[in-house]
Parts: sequence; C-alpha cells; structure tokens
Amino acid sequence: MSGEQLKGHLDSLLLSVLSDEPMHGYGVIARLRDRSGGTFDLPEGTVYPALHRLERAGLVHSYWSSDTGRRRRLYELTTGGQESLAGARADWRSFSRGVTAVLGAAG
Amino acid sequence: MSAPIEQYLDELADRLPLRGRALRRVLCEVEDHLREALTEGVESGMTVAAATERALSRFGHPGVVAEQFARQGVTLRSWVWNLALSLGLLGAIGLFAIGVSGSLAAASGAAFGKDFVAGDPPGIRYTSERCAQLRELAPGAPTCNEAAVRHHYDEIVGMRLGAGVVGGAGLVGWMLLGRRWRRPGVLPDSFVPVAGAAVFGMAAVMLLAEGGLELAFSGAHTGPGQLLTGGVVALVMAVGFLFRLAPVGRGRRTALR
Repeated sequence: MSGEQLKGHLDSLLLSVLSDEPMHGYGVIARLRDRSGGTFDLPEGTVYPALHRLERAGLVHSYWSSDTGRRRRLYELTTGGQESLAGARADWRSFSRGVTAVLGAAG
Repeated sequence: MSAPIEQYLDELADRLPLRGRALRRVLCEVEDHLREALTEGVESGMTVAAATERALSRFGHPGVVAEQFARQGVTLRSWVWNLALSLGLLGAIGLFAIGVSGSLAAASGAAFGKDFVAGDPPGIRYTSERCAQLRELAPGAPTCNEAAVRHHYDEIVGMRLGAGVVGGAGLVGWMLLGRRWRRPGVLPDSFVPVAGAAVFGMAAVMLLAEGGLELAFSGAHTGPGQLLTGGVVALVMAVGFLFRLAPVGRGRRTALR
C-alpha cells in the first residue's frame, strides 16, 4: 500500500499496535508489518516523527528502558490514547461498513 | 557501528531541526533502530554490508526524515521567518549576480565600446542644460552624446558592481548566520532552487529578448549590451538553480504524515 493511501490512518494504526504492550519504534514498525501481512511496509524513518507527534498530543507516553541490556525508548498508550483509539475504531467500522455496502453492492 | 550508519547519523544530525536533549533522543532512537535492523539482517544470512544497506534504505533518506520532524509544530511565525531567510538568500544571490553582470558589462564595454553597453537609443537629444551637466560628469568627452555614454556606462558598471559587493556581503552573512537560523523542513528543500530558476529564467528571457531585438533593429551602438549582459548572467543563474534541483529530488521516498 502506498504512503499516500496510508496518510490519515497512520496515527490510528500506531495507537492500535501500541495498545498491545509498550514497544520501541522498531518493534512498532515490525508489528505493523506483521499484522498487516506486509501490506503496511512504511518508510521506517517516518514513523518516529509520528510517534513524537502522538507523544506531544498526549496520546502516547515514552520512557527509556534498559531491560534488554540496550538503552531503548519505549512507547505506551496513555488514557487519552486509549480513548482516541476507541474513537478511531468506531469511526473506521462505520466508514468501512459504508464503503463495503457501496462497493460490495457493485460487485 | 558500521561507517555507513555513522555517516547516516551524522547527516541526519546536520539536517534535524533539533538541539540538545531532543536531538540526542532522536539520534539514539535511530541508532538503536538501525542496529536492530542490521542485526536482524545479519541473523537472516545477509552480509553486514547488505544488511546495512537494507537498513538504511528502509529507514529513508535523512532529508525526508528530518523534514518529517521539522513539520512537527511548525508555526506561522517559523514559516514566515524561514520564508524571509530564503528570500533574503535569493536577494543576496540576485545582487551578487547583478555584480557579475557589471563585470561582464565592463568587459563588453572594453571589447565592443562603451556605447555597446550605454549608448542611447536613436533619436535621443539632450537639452543644453543636461549637456553641460554630462560634460561636467565626463570631462574630456568630445561631444554631448559621448559624455552621456561615458557617464551612463560608469553608472551602469559602478552600480552593478556595488550591488555585487552588497550581495557578496549578504551571502557571507547568510553562510555565517542564515544557515544556522534556518529551520530545515519548514519550507521544501526545493524552494530556493525553484524560485531562483523561475525568477532568473524569466529575467533571462526578457533581457535577452529585448537586448536581442535592440541589437537587431537599432545596432550595436545603442546600448543593447546593458540588457544582454544581464540576460546572459540571468541565464547562467537559472541553469545553475536547475542543476541544484537535481540532488534535492534524489533519494526521496514517499513520506507519511
């Protein structure tokens, strides 16, 4: 899927991946790729600015961790992020129902 | 850490619009990411070189990454400030180019005569009062028209060279301060090359067309060199800006917001 198609959905996708557990940037990207079956293969460097933007918006929180022996920045959802994700999921379900109804009817 | 990754981090550090702790945090995260990707590639059987290349390629061009960070929290104020700095750079380049055209006008005057640069169009007549002024400004000129040519030639060359000196000082100032003050990514990297190519390109077309017509219909002694020298320099500048555009577009991948 092209970057253009993903625009506008990236924040929700990142929030969704982070809803599982706290994760570092590389893990977020790998999880996103795995979960989408390789459909969302992002230019990896653009995910970090998005994570920082979500952090500034108060939707994720980040902290340094050395649990694995390597100092890494972990990201986790805040309460605001969980609420935002719930809203995004509801919006998406409604949108996809509508699109499926129209496109499905044409088929 | 491999040299290409170090080079990548250096280039990213140069381009990121961040300082201090914020810069260290991003570089630390990126380094961790690239090391992880490199390890994963090597563990899957790739050579270190191939794994490094893949890690860097997947991460994206440092310019794109820096641009994405720069877009975070861009305010109208920072946009206006960066626009002013870019226009200041263009202005300084423009003044410097005018200075170069002054040198070219001086060379043309020496080669083809001062009237090639500062000759009057046919039919120009000066009042006796103006003639007296011109003869005062160009003592030794045998005729009023010759005095006018010499005075206008000195004006054209002198003012253009003066503009060039101001432009050169502006460029030095921009190199010392403007580059530091400018925040990468607020405006596209291509802004200055595109604007420069457009402005100088239009100037080149107008000056060369008007100068060429004057040369063709009025002859070489009616000052077409004034326009032609400006046009030639503008054309060279426009081509130079077009060449600057090529590296800007190289290595870009679609970025996400």
